[in-house]
Amino acid sequence: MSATTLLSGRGLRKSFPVRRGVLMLVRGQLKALHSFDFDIRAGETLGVVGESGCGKTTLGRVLARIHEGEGSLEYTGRDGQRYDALGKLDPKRELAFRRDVQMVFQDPYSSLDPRMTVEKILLEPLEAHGMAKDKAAAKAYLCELLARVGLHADALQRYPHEFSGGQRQRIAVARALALKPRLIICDEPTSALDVSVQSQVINLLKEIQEREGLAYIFISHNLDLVRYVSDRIYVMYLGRVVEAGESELLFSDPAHPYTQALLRSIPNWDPQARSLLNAELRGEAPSPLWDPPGCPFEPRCPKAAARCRSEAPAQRDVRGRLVACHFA
Amino acid sequence: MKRDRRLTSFLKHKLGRVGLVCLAVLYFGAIFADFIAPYGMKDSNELAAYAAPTTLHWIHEGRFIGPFVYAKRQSRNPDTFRLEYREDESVAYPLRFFVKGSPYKLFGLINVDIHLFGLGDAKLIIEADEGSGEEARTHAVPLNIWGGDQFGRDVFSRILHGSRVSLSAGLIGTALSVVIGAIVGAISGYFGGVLDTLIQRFIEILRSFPRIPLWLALAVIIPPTWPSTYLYFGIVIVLSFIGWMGVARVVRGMALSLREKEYVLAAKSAGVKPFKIIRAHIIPNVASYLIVVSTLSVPGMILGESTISFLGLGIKEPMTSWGLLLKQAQSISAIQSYPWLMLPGLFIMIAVLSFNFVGDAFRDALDPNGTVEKLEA
Amino acid sequence: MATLLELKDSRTHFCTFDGIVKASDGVSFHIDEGEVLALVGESGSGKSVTARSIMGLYSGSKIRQSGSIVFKGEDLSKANPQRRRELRGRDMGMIFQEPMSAFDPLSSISEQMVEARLTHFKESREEARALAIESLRQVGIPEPEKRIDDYPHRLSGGMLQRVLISIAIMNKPKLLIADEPTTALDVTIQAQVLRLLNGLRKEMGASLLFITHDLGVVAEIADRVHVMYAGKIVEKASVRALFSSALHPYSKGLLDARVTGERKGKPLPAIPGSVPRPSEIAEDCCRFAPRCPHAGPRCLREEPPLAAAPAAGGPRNDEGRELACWLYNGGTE
Ligand SMILES: Nc1ncnc2c1ncn2[C@@H]1O[C@H](COP(=O)(O)OP(=O)(O)OP(=O)(O)O)[C@@H](O)[C@H]1O
Ligand SMILES: Nc1ncnc2c1ncn2[C@@H]1O[C@H](COP(=O)(O)OP(=O)(O)OP(=O)(O)O)[C@@H](O)[C@H]1O
Ligand SMILES: [Mg+2]
Ligand SMILES: [Mg+2]
Repeated sequence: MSATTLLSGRGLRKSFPVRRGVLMLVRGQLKALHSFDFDIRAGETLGVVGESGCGKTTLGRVLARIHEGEGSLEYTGRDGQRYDALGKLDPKRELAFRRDVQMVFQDPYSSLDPRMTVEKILLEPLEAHGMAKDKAAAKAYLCELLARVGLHADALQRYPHEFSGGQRQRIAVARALALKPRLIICDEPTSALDVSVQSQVINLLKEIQEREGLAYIFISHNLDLVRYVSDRIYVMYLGRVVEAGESELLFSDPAHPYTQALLRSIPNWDPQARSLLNAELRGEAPSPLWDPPGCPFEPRCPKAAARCRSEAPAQRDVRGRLVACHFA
Repeated sequence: MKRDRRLTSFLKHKLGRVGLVCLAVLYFGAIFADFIAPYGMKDSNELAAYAAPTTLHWIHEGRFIGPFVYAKRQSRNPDTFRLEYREDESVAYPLRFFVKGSPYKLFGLINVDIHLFGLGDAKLIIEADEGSGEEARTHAVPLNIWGGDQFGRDVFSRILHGSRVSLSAGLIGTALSVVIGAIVGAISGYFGGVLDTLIQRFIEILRSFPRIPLWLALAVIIPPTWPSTYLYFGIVIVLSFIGWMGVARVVRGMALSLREKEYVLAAKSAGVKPFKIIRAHIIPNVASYLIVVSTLSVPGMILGESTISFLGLGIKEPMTSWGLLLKQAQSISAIQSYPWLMLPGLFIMIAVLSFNFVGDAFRDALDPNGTVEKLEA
Repeated sequence: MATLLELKDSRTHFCTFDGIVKASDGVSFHIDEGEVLALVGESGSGKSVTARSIMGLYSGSKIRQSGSIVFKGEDLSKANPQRRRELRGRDMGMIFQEPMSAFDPLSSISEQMVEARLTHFKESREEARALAIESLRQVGIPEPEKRIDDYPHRLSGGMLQRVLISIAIMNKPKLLIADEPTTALDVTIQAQVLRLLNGLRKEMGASLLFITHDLGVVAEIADRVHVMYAGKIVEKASVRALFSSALHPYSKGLLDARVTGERKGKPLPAIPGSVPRPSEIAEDCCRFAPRCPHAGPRCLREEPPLAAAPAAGGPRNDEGRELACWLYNGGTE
């Protein structure tokens, strides 16, 4: 792909203060995101996988400027100008960035305001960007939006609770599309949905991408799903990237012991094989408060050695992908 | 569907229903006070000073003639030197409905002088004491179904007139404090940070003062020379000055959790301005809690107004309120000899309990998880 | 093998503000001793309600139950509440989806385990505690002597799920009911828990009723599978039969909806529409008909009974396969 780089992060970090006790004093920092590097090109899908609490949502929110992160996040605007999108932006750029980068959240039951009609929900971003001045045109545009996500125009006057989970997620996708963004961050867009409905939403997202050339950052803990939708994948563990590369490469030949263990833990839908009951990964995911000097995966790693405990592995190129492991 | 469920749940609450009926009666009485009360706010009758409740009779000289009263004759008991009343059974004064009485303005607009019931212009002649040299006088016959006060004013009428101030001060005060509280609370919770800390500390400091002295201190600021309507609004403002803080704390708590909701994040990431988010997402989503909070804080307001007026810093004569009426029942001896002067207290109690019951029913219906705690004022 | 549990036309209906919710509406199945039966279906299909009605957790005027639940030859639907309590936790153990909410946050794990033991057995607290520690060791909790005095919030989700399992197996029940025990867990932890459950039930010779919506998990652990949709069982089959050839259009749809890398670049097969809400479930017709690609006029007219599948429909070795679909029972016309 020779498309322009849309967004590129270097050393992205985010920590949350940990408050404890009666006085709720700050007792430490929870590093949800440790020095995350990535690039995403226009029209590409980038997958982010990892287990619960590894910082996937935090990453998505830092990118969408919901959380304030540290590091650098270079964004190339529509006019080709590059600027750092972290921290304070001048109002014009801020608005342009908010327009270009949208988010689809995990839970379609809490991402739509229960007291607003679908029309109000969809109008909100348009109004914020002064694009709803002409009422009739705006309404026509909303109907078109709904049609694009496979809903009928009479949905406009209804409230979110009148829709099923899958339909709500379609509304959420319509809201994200309203401003004609260039990048949509999808944070587990199907994990609250039924299996039979999940495919509908994934197909819709893919279809829209083909038609409109959007880029996606697709966050999920479902490895099969990430493999299906993504061109490239970042595997996260405890706020760090442990392996990153082309998705087929990662799945056919995982290099990091954690990626290997993850792949072995996926049920393989074959009652004859029952492979899960034989192979498994030891131990529990560590507390997110734990900040080891060495490799965070060391306590669970079958290949761990003394060096892993004292020295954090740097990312290096192994067989065409980046891996953070001394022994890969 | 949703509305229905809440309504059903509300109606299921027995005490809530009782409370609602009581409030309906009280507010009906307050709205039509001028019409229902046989006497105007300022009317007095010297024959009614400390008069015991007038008894209603039906049978006069063995014949049924409908409701009527006998006039009372005052005399001083030679042993105790107290005023005593004795019914004079010679003349029956029939109770009449829709009678002419002192004029008033219906809804503050139309001049009317019809009252629901009364004795009309029934007069009796009081002969002068023998040898005093005075002439006989004619006098209106007093009708005091709940007795008369020190100045011969009808307690029943005064309670009705007083309910206007007491009940409306509760409502207006609450409305004011809920509006202020919701705005401050939503801003404090949504923005968080230094602003939130400052607002919270301010509230904590103010709330750590004992309530009654604070009310009194604030009430003293109101110039006593103000006309009574100004005074009234002054009292309401004093009450809501303290009341908003409770509301603000509840709303802040909810705003704190609402701002993490994904629909708020979605609005934020679409570039919607903070105040628009507060108006469009935060306030509508706390609205049902605000209803609960408001109903539960009305009793505090009613008590507050009563307390201030009772202590003489609030509503001034001739305007009246339940708290001010109770002032006459301050001494044990007054309570012993004229127990009907305590009746305004009973009304305060009924109003406060009713609001609490209705508030509880609202809470059960709208806030099943009990997010809203009972507010003191 | 002897039958341990048999449900016959078991129904659980809830009276709510929106009308009667027929959460489990005529469910019949049996579990043999030592067997793993999986109940699969999407959310709202009535899996949890069925499980809880077996445990006897429903009572009250808002809930109507009918049908019979025969456990070890005893009809539980006729048993009194005290008898149900006796069986619960002793002869039947249950594991819930959300491990955190199954614990009392204010008492330590040891208190909760000892309590669970002493409700059913007359023994000293020391004996009960020793047994609890043993039971924790069995589920692979490191240093159980120390861990047992922790409070639930100190343990991670995977650990808590293990503790929950250890409580469920402590009294050596004959039947273990696991209601989505791995849904809230990460894949690596899910693998551990599945392995643990499988090992334990083999060791104890207990039967396992495994409830899930994840067919991948079913393939790993179950002997037989029942597929539920909108309160009814639509297909019963052995695991192998289901995965080699699902017959009911709904089961087929679920299996097809699997996301795999091989499908990349092609759209995923999807079942149109969505799971009906309780108030929208159509009666006197096939409940899946509105979403079914094969639905014919009969499907909208008459409810298909759960009947043995004709031999021609499935592989020969498939005994006990049953289907509720007109496609295999005389046509949809
Ligand atoms: N606002 C916050 N304040 C404090 N800690 C937070 C906050 N948001 C997230 N965290 C912590 O940061 C860590 C990473 O959280 P994050 O939500 O990014 O994980 P995740 O990978 O999205 O997990 P999941 O799969 O469960 O959604 C967690 O330990 C979480 O507890
Ligand atoms: N106590 C209750 N009162 C009213 N309705 C109920 C009650 N419990 C469950 N239901 C309804 O019964 C239906 C079946 O619920 P159940 O919990 O058995 O679904 P499930 O198959 O376990 O789904 P999930 O995968 O979401 O756990 C649902 O529509 C649910 O709303
Ligand atoms: Mg997340
Ligand atoms: Mg369930």
